[in-house]
Amino acid sequence: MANLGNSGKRSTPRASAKLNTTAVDEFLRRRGGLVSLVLVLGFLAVWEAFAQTGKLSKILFPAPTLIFASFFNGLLDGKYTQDLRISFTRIISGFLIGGGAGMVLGLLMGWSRRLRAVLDPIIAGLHPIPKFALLPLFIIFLGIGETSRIAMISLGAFFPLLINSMAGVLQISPTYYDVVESYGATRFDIFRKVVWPGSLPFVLTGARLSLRNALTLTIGIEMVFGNKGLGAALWLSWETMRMVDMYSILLIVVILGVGMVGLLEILKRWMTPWHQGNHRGGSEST
Amino acid sequence: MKIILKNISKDFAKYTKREVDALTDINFEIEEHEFVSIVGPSGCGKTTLLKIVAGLLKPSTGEISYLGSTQPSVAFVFQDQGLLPWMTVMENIGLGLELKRVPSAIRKDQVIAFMKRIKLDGFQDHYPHELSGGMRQRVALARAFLTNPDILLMDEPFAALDAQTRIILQEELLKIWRVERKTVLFVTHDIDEAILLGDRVIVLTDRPGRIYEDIRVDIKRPRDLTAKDHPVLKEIRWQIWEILEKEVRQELRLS
Repeated sequence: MANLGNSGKRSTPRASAKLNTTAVDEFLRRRGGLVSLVLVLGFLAVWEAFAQTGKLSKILFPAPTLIFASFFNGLLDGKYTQDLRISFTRIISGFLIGGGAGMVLGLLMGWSRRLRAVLDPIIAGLHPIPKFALLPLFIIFLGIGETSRIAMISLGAFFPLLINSMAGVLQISPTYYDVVESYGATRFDIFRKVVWPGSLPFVLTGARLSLRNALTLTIGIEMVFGNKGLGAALWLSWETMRMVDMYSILLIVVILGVGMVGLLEILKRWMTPWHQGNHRGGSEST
Repeated sequence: MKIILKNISKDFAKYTKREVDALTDINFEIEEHEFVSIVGPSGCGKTTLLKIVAGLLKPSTGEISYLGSTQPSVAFVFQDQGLLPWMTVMENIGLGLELKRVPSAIRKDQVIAFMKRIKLDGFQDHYPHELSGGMRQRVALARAFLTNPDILLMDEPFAALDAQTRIILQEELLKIWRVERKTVLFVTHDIDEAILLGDRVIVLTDRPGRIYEDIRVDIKRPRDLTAKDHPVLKEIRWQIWEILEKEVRQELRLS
């Protein structure tokens, strides 16, 4: 009797648990974003409450409402405009110079077995070096001006685009080359019909990672030397204990990063509509 | 245009150790508008032979001559991945013409007309991954025929399809070919398909691939699927099977 009761009890919760799991999965699949939003708002509300009641240091952790007010005021009266413009220019310059060079070299290395044989070991050796560690070297060779900053940011943007572009070309099925070559394609035809469109999803994944590296390096370099740019402003506000300012600038950096990466994601969707159905993505190699 | 292959061999030993896909001592002629099927065990160099005729590979020895044309145009139909995934159906069908520098206005008209003819209209903006395997091969056929090639090279175009779809596409190919008479080299491992479609069936044996038999198929044209019951087909089927069975048994160490 006891056995029978036991087994009955055991099976019932299991079945209902299974039902619940699928219901939860279904809800999260549809409304997962909403749950995230609630979590974030909840966190801010708790923070606000603790700050208002004095349970948190008002100096180190000012109330979110104060931060947002300072953020919007700062935007409106142009307090951050110059720093934002300087940082943005550096990010984009480094991304275009370093990322562009990385993309071109990556595509060529993917296409040419000879070039790959020569350069791949060099790239493999240089790639894992934390780029920031090279800052002193850059200063020695290029001085402490804008040149060495842009050069460092470019270097950070160089590798992700190089490696992903190369991987993008290498994953193209050899049959596609046969297809166009059988119709008498020139080398330029092969590039524009096969190599470029075939590697584009990977190139754009590389671009996202390059952009992220450019942002990281820009803020980092600005924190270490110079007195302009978001990184410098962030560091100065920290050193002078203007924490409301620090959080406002941090918010700008976050929005800048998310915005740029989001733009690239939209670009990817728009440029490679054929890639939506068969998500193979790119290798996530920074 | 007549194609003459003389003493063709292909040897990959220089680059790799693979024995498969090599060819030796290939001699045959293809008459203009002739449909030649090639069957053989896998690894016997069928694809290599097609690529040599297409000019995608250079033979190690021997030569191919084309009588009646100095620069023969070819169209290649592959087993799969013959469509470029980043191009729509319409762009894929027009690709051959585009690479042959046909002006875009003319190209567009031709593509649309051909799509209508083989009932692909309505799919022009689809991407290959949105189509079934059978539809993809129909698009590949359309592209190949539309370039109006001297030689049509088909590398197991229906091998990846299910049996029913394959039958329908065989019929479709016969139907198009009845109007657009091309010289065709058709590689397959399906014996019935080889006989049904071909004026001749060339049987290759492997390692390295060489011509074992060259069989004429005396079934009158135009043919349709009823030719599958033709006594000639049944007779040739067993003749080819006897050759291939020996090969396959050897490969499987069964003899």
